[in-house]
Amino acid sequence: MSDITTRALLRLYPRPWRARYGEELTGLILQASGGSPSLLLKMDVALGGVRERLRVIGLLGNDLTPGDRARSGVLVVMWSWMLFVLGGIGVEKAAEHWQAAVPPASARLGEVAFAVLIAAAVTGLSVTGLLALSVWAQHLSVAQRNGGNDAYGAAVLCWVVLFAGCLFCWAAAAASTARHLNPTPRLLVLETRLAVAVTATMAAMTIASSIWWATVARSAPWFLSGTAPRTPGTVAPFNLVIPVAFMLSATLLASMGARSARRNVRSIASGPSLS
Amino acid sequence: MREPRQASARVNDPPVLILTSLASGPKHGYALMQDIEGFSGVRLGPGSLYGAISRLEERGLIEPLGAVSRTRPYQLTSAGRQALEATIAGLRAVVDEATTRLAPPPQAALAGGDA
Repeated sequence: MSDITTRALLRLYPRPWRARYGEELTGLILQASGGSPSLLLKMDVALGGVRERLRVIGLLGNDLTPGDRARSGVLVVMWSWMLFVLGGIGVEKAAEHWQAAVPPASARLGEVAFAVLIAAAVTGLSVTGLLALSVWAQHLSVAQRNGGNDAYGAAVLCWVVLFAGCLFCWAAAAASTARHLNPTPRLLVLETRLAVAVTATMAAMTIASSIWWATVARSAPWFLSGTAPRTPGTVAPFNLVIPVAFMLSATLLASMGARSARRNVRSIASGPSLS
Repeated sequence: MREPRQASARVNDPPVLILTSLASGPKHGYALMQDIEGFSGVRLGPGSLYGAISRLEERGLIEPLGAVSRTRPYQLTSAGRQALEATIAGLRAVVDEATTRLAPPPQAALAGGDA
């Protein structure tokens, strides 16, 4: 085995392990191979290196404490996810415009699976981002976490956008699934009732939020503006107006959907009445 | 690596094979490989062998002899000897049980069962 190959294989081992056993392992490789190592021997040495690395990070053996092993496991999932995303990007690229090539009748299951794939990918990205943010937040003070660190604030904003994308993708996946289902009238009635209940809940939450906002704006406006107590400030800060606007828009949209569902489900002659 | 245990160690586990080989005296890596292949038929690769050697040394079951070199020998420690004896006892218990169960049942017991 050439020195270059031996050195490359030894690089797979952790540095402390190499410092202790590297010379002996090199000697053994040379003796065992007689100058012409088999592929099996190279694989054995390479796998040995991977095993030692996994041992160092706690995925093999009991060398670390359970807490360290659990922490390592989480970090490994993060790194694995990055690799997975690379693979996912490849799949997404290879799947571009696949709907045009597959007949509609055959594409139903594929459409649902593809929507779920995208939603799961974005979910994984959100979870990984949340883990990374949690690790980062542990190294920041309360003040830094609450607007004192611009980079952290930008990262949180990116994560919020990602999370919104996650919700959107799952909603799209659910819609894609629903499009290919053919529910019975009874099931449709049940779904409509659920939709009405969800809309009513959204409306109640929007109203409650508005009441809370008005109450705080009247008695402690400085809380809303983030200024010192009993100092003047805006009662309609950006970070409250936008979320409530989202809630209001969503409630209005849901109301339209629920109204349409109620009206149309009544017209199904074979279905039971909603009233 | 599976550390030698009384009941769950397997005969072909690299640590068991290494401890068994060193029971007859100190050996370096290549001598260990050849000896183990000779008495068990198992050919351990360099990576597997040194992975097991490092674990055994960490646990104080074997120790190196002499200065660092490419052919550094290892020998069994007293803890290693005890661990090997415990492993052998565990394996022997399984062998004895298997031997007992494989033995043909006594004719008298069979006759009694039929009656």
